[in-house]
Amino acid sequence: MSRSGPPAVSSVASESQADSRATEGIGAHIPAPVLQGIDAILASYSQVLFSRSKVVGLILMAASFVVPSVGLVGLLGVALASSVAVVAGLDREAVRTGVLGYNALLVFLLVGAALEPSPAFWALAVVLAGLVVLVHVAVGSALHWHLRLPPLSLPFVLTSWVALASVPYIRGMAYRERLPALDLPAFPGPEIIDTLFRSLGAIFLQPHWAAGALVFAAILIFSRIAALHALLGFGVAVFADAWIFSFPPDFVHLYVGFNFIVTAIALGGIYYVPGPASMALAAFGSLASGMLSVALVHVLQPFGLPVLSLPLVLTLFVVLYALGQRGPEALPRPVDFVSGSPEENLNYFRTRVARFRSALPVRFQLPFRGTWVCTQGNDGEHTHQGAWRHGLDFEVADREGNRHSADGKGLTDWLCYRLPVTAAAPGTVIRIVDGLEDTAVDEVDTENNWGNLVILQHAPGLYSMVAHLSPGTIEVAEGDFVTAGEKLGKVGSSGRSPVPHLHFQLQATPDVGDPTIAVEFQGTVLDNGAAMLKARHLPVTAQRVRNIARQKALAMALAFPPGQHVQVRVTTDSGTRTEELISDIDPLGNRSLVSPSRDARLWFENRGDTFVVYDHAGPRDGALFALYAALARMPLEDAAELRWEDKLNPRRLGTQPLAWLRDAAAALIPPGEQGIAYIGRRQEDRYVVEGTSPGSTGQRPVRTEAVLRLGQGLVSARVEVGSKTVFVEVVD
Amino acid sequence: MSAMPSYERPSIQRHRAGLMNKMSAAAAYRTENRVEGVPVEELVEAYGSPVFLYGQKTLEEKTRELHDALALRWPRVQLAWSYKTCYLDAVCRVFHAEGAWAEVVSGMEYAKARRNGVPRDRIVFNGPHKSEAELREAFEGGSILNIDHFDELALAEKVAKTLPHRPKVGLRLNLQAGASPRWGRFGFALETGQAWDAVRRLVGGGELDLVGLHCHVGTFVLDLNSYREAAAKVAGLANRLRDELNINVEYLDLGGGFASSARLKSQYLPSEQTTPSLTQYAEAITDGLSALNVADEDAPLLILETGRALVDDAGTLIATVLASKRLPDGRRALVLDAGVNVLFTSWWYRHNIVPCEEPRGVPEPTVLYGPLCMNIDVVCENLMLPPLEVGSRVLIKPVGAYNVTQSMQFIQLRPAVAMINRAGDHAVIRRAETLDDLVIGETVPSWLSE
Repeated sequence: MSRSGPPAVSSVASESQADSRATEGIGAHIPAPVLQGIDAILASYSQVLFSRSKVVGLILMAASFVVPSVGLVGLLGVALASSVAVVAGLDREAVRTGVLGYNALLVFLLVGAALEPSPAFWALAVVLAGLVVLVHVAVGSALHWHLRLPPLSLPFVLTSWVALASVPYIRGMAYRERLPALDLPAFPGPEIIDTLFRSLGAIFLQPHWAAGALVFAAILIFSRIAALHALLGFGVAVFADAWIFSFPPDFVHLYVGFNFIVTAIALGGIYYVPGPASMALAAFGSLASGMLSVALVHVLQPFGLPVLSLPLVLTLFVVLYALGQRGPEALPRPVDFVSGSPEENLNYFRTRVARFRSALPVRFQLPFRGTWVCTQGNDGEHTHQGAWRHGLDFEVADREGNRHSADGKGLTDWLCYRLPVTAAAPGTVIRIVDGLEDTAVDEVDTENNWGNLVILQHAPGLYSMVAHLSPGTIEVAEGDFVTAGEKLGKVGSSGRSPVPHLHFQLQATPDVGDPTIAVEFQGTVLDNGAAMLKARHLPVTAQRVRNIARQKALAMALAFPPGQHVQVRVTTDSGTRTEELISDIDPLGNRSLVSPSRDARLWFENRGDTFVVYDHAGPRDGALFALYAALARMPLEDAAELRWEDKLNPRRLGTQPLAWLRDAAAALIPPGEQGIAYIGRRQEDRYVVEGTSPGSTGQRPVRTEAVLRLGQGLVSARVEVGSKTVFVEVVD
Repeated sequence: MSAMPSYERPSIQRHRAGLMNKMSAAAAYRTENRVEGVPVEELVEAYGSPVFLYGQKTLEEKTRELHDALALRWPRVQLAWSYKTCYLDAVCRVFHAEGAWAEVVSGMEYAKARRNGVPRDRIVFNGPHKSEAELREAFEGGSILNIDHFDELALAEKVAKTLPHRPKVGLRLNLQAGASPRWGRFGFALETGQAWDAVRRLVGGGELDLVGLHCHVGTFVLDLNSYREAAAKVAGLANRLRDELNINVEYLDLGGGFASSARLKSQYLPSEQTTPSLTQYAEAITDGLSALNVADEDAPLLILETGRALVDDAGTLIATVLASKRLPDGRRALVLDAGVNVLFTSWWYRHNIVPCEEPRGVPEPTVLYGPLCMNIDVVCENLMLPPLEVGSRVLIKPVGAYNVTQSMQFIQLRPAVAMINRAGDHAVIRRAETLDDLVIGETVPSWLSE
């Protein structure tokens, strides 16, 4: 039941991680490979419930030991399978994170519970360990490449069938009469709780209340939202048992109960962002997996094969694949990022929406250079109406607001006349109109409404048009590929243009005169006195706007070339220590900074005009945490003074007291993001960014400061959350 | 001055009135008795005569006009204030407050820029003479430094070897761009192949990183095509650097040389008709630069070191008539208290000289002399002026560029300089000199002091 996407901390961290661990804390005398092995085994347990936590893994391991002989077989099986995977040269990262181990764990728990121990059993075990690993890799990669689906526990089901079906033909092997867990003392409390716990225990082939109680505790630690959905799934099962299906006795807590529960957890927060829609989907999926259980029992019984987790696997496959065919805005929203606990997914998603959401798949910048004024916004009084309501007109005004010199009767009096017009985003030139004369001031050409123009295609169904260009100034040809900011032509007054101006619009279709669609620019600076950066902006009439004026010195200060090692001194309330940060790049080009000693990672990107931090994983007293808050978004412009606002993830910041309590209701009453206001100032050869967040209801205030030496690099970063401070200085 | 006016023999003058003809400009004159809104007499009372005045508003508006004109046409632009044009701290600080870096051509100017709080990485260091110590300081501070000749290149490499980081430098080019005469003495000649030799020498040396190209076509260049052509040639070299050596330059520095509203002695038409606007200069340069094959996001920083065109019009000199006399050839002559000692630009400018009060009488050809006892001290050889009385004031404009930095302590001490802000407040930015200022560095050897 592995999660899709790369794990939190990948290879760069893992190389030196074990070494550093071996030198500190409990593992001082344990060799690194052994520690890595322990990590991998614990991770295999927690992966069964989509978690990565070692604590969760430990509790789940304890649950599997309610019948110690079964638990022992499971543990040995994971160790055996992981060793086989390492020896076979398979993905070590998948071993380390438990992704390769959880199917083996389930297979061995099953054979441990279903078969009588014997010498032949251990011979079989070696074969099974190899088989489950190979099936996992084969099925997993086939599903990933062809269907973009996770393998879930399908490898467990397939391998288990092979094992169970072959038992009668293996010398000295026999089925157990009944599951050993059923012989343990019964639950002293109400039957419904007993059923719940036994259903949960059944996930680890221990359908006993003690195992189930431990599993439930582990789920609660992992995620309150997941716990809520576990109860939801169980509720659906009880309801279905009572009102819909006539399940055989013991059916819920022995065979299918966990299918309801795990399906609900998976759909309610692991693969979809928690919310009312995903909760509804979880209830539906849960019921569907119940129905599938009955059907599969009926189908598989003649072959003597158990359904195991097949109902939930098939249900999830169908739901994930079918809903994967929808557009990006459909509910419930898929977790299309590195999945964490449902709470983390929810917070990350909401913060991402608040920080980066755009209805457009392409980042547009203003189609000109320097500061212009919007002279007719959307739904403008002159021409931006009806199908063309999303049009925008721009002109140039001097600092006193004059749009022309002299009396404005000549075209050249107008300040914007013959200024360069640039591509708003990368694209292909698909249509050019040229050769129409500029009309005199106060005259219009209503036959050729748009005048001379260039239409670019940026994506399927996404086109931009610049219009009223001056004849003979167009510098591109149809079929040319242009980069963002590349010069297309010069402003004119051709077409329906009483005075020289630039008209810009987006459209979903490629033809001249087609209807407009909503437009939004990214990285726009409002230049009315104090410069204010807007991550996303739609200019309105009379607003002075420009693009970020990128300065290389600031971009260089935040370059973090891959492979760079940065030594930092970290001062917290508890003392000072040093950390080494390593700049990493993954095969997909994702950039991050890693702190191996703190097992932390910070994802960032240089977007050309802005440096953005996407997320942080790691402790809140580490160097990367300070960078997360202090450098969340940095326009790469070393203006004398620039202000901007951002939203941070309160879960990452740790600014919400009693977050645990809130989590239970978070799916229905989502938490708010933490707004923070930044101001960047140039001071001598340094650039200083200060962030202040008063914190809204229930959030602790946050203050940050980052100091960069222009052209060189980071000098220091500080974050104060409530009364806690982390201060990071780069050591030369 | 005696109280009784002295007798003057009458002379005959032809009345000339009407519009400009092919012989001369119109004889019409006007009067002005305020500088940036402040009465002339108030200024003379405060600072004496002569006095230089700088209008802060004009400085700011010119800077913004040029910056905006460039920023509308090129993605990354930076002005660097040409210190030599006027390096009074107050004037420099107005430009720095408007975002301009500093362009210096000597260690002294470099130190002056530092004094004004300019970070070292915002100083452009040009000029044919940079000492070893100055090179080191500039490299350590990450200044933009343009190499002028091969000997300087060798010296820069010697310094670079002693530094932990490889310094970044630019190369100054001289090229044929229609401006006449060609300035061939600064930088490396492009057309002869010397510039490419310098590139190969610099890159091959391995001690320095080539990050920029610099070129300055001349001074008071009225021909826009010179800029268009120079920019295109510099862009051409930048293209070649990328194509052949995989070097992406970080900046292109097109120098300065824009004309102000002053009129040269050689100019036939008045400056309103000959001097291009800052916008036209910006357009010519950016048009030329479009020859550069580079994506917008990698476009190099365009640096301009405009001096004269930003500061000249902001400067006014108030002078006082000391004497009026008739020359043997019948022309009228006025002796002013400001001469070529403070008006270096009178060698080639035909200044606009404006009486402050409405004079009485008929305009006649007049020659204006300065106060020096030197035959060369001529402020203006021929100007149609009505008779001006002794003690009356005139405004001499534009004088903001070069005059203050090049004025001499020769025969006369240097006058005060003041600045007027937008509100009409004014303050001295350099006081009038006294004898103490003149002799401060002097000593008399012991054998003479007995």
